[in-house]
Parts: sequence; C-alpha cells; structure tokens
Amino acid sequence: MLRAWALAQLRQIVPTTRSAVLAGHPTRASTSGIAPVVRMTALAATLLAVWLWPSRAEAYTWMIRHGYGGCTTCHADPSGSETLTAYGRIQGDLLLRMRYGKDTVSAAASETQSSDFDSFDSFDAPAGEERAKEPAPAAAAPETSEGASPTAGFLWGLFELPDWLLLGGAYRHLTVIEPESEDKFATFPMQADLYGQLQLGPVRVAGDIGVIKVEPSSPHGRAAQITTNQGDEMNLISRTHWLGVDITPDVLVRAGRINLPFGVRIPEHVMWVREATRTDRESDQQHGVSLAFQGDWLRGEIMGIAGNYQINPDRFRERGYSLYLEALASNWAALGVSSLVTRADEDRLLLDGQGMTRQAHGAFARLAPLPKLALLLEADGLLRSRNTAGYAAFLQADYEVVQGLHFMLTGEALDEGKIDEPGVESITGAGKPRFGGWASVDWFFLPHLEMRVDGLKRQDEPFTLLAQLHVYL
Amino acid sequence: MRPILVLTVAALLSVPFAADAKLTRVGAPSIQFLAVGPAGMKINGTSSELSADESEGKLTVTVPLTNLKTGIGLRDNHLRGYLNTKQHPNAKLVVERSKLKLPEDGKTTDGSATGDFTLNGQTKPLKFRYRAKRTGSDFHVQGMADVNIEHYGIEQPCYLGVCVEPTIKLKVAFKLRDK
Repeated sequence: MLRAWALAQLRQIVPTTRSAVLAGHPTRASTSGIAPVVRMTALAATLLAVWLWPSRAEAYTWMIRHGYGGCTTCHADPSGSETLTAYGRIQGDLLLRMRYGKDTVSAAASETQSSDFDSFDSFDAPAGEERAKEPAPAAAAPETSEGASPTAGFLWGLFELPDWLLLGGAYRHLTVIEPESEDKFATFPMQADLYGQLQLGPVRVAGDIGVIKVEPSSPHGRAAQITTNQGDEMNLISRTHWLGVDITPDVLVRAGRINLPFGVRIPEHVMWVREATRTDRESDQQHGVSLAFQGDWLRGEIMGIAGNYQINPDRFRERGYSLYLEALASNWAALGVSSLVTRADEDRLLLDGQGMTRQAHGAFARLAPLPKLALLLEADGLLRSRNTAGYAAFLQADYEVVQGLHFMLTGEALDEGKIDEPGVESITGAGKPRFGGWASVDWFFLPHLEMRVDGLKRQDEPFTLLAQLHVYL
Repeated sequence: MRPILVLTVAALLSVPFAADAKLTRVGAPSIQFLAVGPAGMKINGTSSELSADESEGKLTVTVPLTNLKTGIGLRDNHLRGYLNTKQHPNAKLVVERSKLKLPEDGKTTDGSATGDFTLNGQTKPLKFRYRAKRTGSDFHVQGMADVNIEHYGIEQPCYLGVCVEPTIKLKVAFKLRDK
C-alpha cells in the first residue's frame, strides 16, 4: 500500500529531468536502510532524471536507408554502437555529416533507388515513361581525385592506426532547460569515454573507460562504475569490456560486460522502451557470454547474463538471458523480435527486499520507406514479480532533409503495470497508459561533431528542452 | 570506397519485329543493379542511359558505364576504376532477334535467351530472362540477369576490408518502338 501511495504521489513529488539530476537525494542502496517514501521518490527521480543522456550517437539504426542492414561493417560490436571500424569511420564521413560546397563523394552526390531483383515490375508503373528526356551522350563522369575527408580517421586523422587496433572516444555536453521549473537552466558534461578494440587473428579484446559524476540517487552511471567514490564525486566507469573470438567471419562469441542484445539500439537511453526494459547502452550492460551472428538476411545475438559484477552485493545482480533476432525482409525493411528474462534476489532499483523476476518480450522494426525517411518502431510487453503486466512502445520518424540534418518526431507509451495487490489503484504509467512525445533536430555539422536539440513532453511532466554537443574521436 | 559492382546489363530484351521493321528505343530507360556485401549490406545502383539499335538481324543494346550511381559518390568513382571505364566506357549486349519471342498486341510474353555480353572489353555468353508487353507499335521490355564480374576480368571490389560478392543482379527496363 505504501508503494502504491508513493507511486500515486509521483506526479506531485517527483523532480523533473534536470532537477532530479541536480537535487540531492539520499543515496540509493547498493547500501541499505532507506525509508520507502524516500526510495520511491528516488525511483521516480531516476525515471525522469538523466544525468547521462544519450550515451552514444555512433549507432544509427536508420543506416538501413543506405543499404546497411547490419552493423558489423561499421562497428566492432556486432549489434552496433561504440567502436567504429575503419570502414565505419569513412561511412561517417560520407553518409553522416553535412557537406558544404562542391561535393562528389558523399551520399548526397549519388542518389539511387532500390528495386526487387527477384521479379519483374508491373508494366503499369510509370517508371521511365514520364522522363522523356533522351539520355546524355556517353560522356565521362566528372573526374575527381577527391576521397573521404582526411579528418575521418581517429582524432581527425592525426595519425593512422594499425589494422589490428581500433580506438575511439566520445564527449557529450548537455544543457537542460525547463521553462516551467523553478530552476530553469543547467549545463554539464554528460559523457567522457574512451574505447577501443585490439584484434589478433580471430581474437578480440575490447572495452571502454570513462569518468562520471552522478547524483547519489541516480539510476544512471553507477551500475557501470569501477571506483566507488560516494556522494557527489567523480568515478571511473567501464560500460563494456569483453574478450571475443570470431568463430567464423559471421559468428562472434564474447565474454565480458556487454550491451544487452534487445530491441532497437537507439542513442536515446531514456526512451521508455530502453528504460523500462533496462537495456540501454548507458549503464545497463551486464557481464555474461554472448553469441552473435550476422548473415545476409538474418542476424541476432543471444546472451547468457551472469550478473553485473560492478554492483554489490550479489543479491542485486540479475541473472538470465537476453536476445534478439532480426530479418531483412527487403532492402528497406528489417523486422525483429526480442526477449529477456532475469532474476535477482532483490531489485536494485526497488530495494524492497524481495526477489525479482523481470521479463520483456517484444518486436521491433527498422524501415526506410522513402530515400530520406527512416522509421524505427518497438513494442515490448513487460512482466515483473508482484506486478500486473505492462508494456512500453515507441515510434520514431527520422527525416534527413539534407545530408547531415535530421528532423525527428517520436511518440512513446508506457504502462509498467501496477502492484498486483487488492486495493492498489492504477495511475498513469502504472496500470494506465502514459504518453510522451519528442521533437528533435540532429545536425552532424562537421567531421566528428554533432549538435542535437530535443523538445520533450511527457504526460505529467513539464516540457523539457535538451541541447547536446557531441564530439567523437 | 572501391567500386562495388557494376553491371549494366544493357538490354535483356529484344523484340523481334516484322522483317523490315527497325526497333528504336524511346522514352527513358531504367538500369538497376544489386551488389551484396557482408552483414546484410546491399548496394542498389542505377543508371538512366541506354541505347539500342537493330542491324542485320541483331539487336545491340549499349549502356554507358561512366555515370552509374551507387548511392555514394566516392563509391561511384571507385566503381569506374574497377570497371576500367577509361578503356571500356560501355557495356554491350548483342542478341539475335530470332532468339526472342514477340508478343502480340496487348499481350505479354516471358522468355529467356542468351546473348553476347561485353564488359571490360571481354565478351561472353550471358543468359537472361525477359518480359515484353506490346501496345501497338511499342514494346515495353524488362530483363534480368546475374553476372559474375570476375568472369570478365574484373577484380572483386573491396574497400577497407569490406568486399562485395562478385555476382551481381541486373535489371533493366525500356521501351522500343517499331519504326
């Protein structure tokens, strides 16, 4: 009943995104003994607070628009994100960033269309009929010696890395504006990570290290900490670190702390589909063993979760599995399913002293119905001990008006289910649906540089404006 | 990025006509090709240049290779290098008219045939499928074929460790008019 009451008070007492970050809250427990109301307040704050906003923008699932159905051509992680391959760096220069002046090398300089190569088209389609212009004589295309920018490489091409070494890094700075809140403005560094991969034959060693500073009650960051400085102090973190072996060119087995294979790998780690399933790339990684495969039209990854050994004590460590399977249905459509089941002796966020079994099962899609438009969708069912069933879903439309400039609209929904006890009433987001919408502009304005602005309005929350500068090495 | 594949399959079609008729291409043609790389990578290439003429019982379809588009400008440049377009700017398919089935007015015909396909200065037989629909004196034609570029002396395209399969799919569509 107390928990239900606390949930019902959420809308009145829960801090907003930024204030949750800045306000002091009692330390959560990887320690002990906190009053339920305070814990619930902290829980509510964590649901809203984002000390660490989108951790990465280097995994762009909308790359399917450019014919990249999978991730391994550009990323060391078989499911995308973090460390870029040499090929991936060049794609970032040719496909991602805005071009200025004369351009003969980027995607904007060469537009094509896709077709079905397994069957003839209908003769009723107007293809070719309306373009009555005679083809130009067979003249040579403009010759150019221009290639990818020399700044595409690591550290803007300062030096060339050997083939067996991949390095990268990211810094993000976030500014939060909440016009309706008492404290309207805050600005702070959000991410500072270095990452890389060393490959010797089929063996790979990869990982990242960074620094972080979060409020004691924040659900973000601490799960990835290496050091244990308490309170408002800096800590070292490592989100991922693993040892892998390429069994075949298409199959990779890894052991270590790994991004959970689940759903659409988006940079917005506070999107409800990521938060509610606890499958973001910010700090939801787990230790375990995974097998990833990448075929021509089918890819997937399954992971046995051994627990997060960067949190203590052991009763908080979740064990189970997480997996996804995705099929390229066509040149412009990828459809997938995800599943996750974990069990812990006590949930590290609820801190209620009881065992917790969590499940998330859902489907997702990546679609590129138009040359400049990508659609990302995901819907997951949520099951949790002592809770009614819930769900989380999102739909994002990403329109690249010119190369490097994206306009995005996102809608999301969440119902985490309510406590399954008599007399517990449903509230928005717990027994009743809760809705949110984002309007975003994402601008890759120079090599290795990105600016992003999000206007976010979630039900029962004030409007929040987020502005982010991202620099990747 | 090195070129991926290019095939321009020029025409896979042909349209046998009355003995004295000459076929002339009209309208805007469409040439497409698909190259497949690792991890679900797909390169959809296009061109809109094609010429066709009939002479001495043979239909010759020619596609310039210098303006092929692959979706990335640098890749287009590399493609031209792989195809050796400076020495061999065109791909060509020559088909005996007698090997092709002609649809009646208002009808559609499917068929397959073999012609001599020239790419990178090398000529080899190429089997293709086609579909043709006749509307009056116009023949709407589509054709498809798979081409292994290595058979034409073209090196498998690779770039920074990412290679594409040497066999690519070709698809063309254009209209011929009996004049």
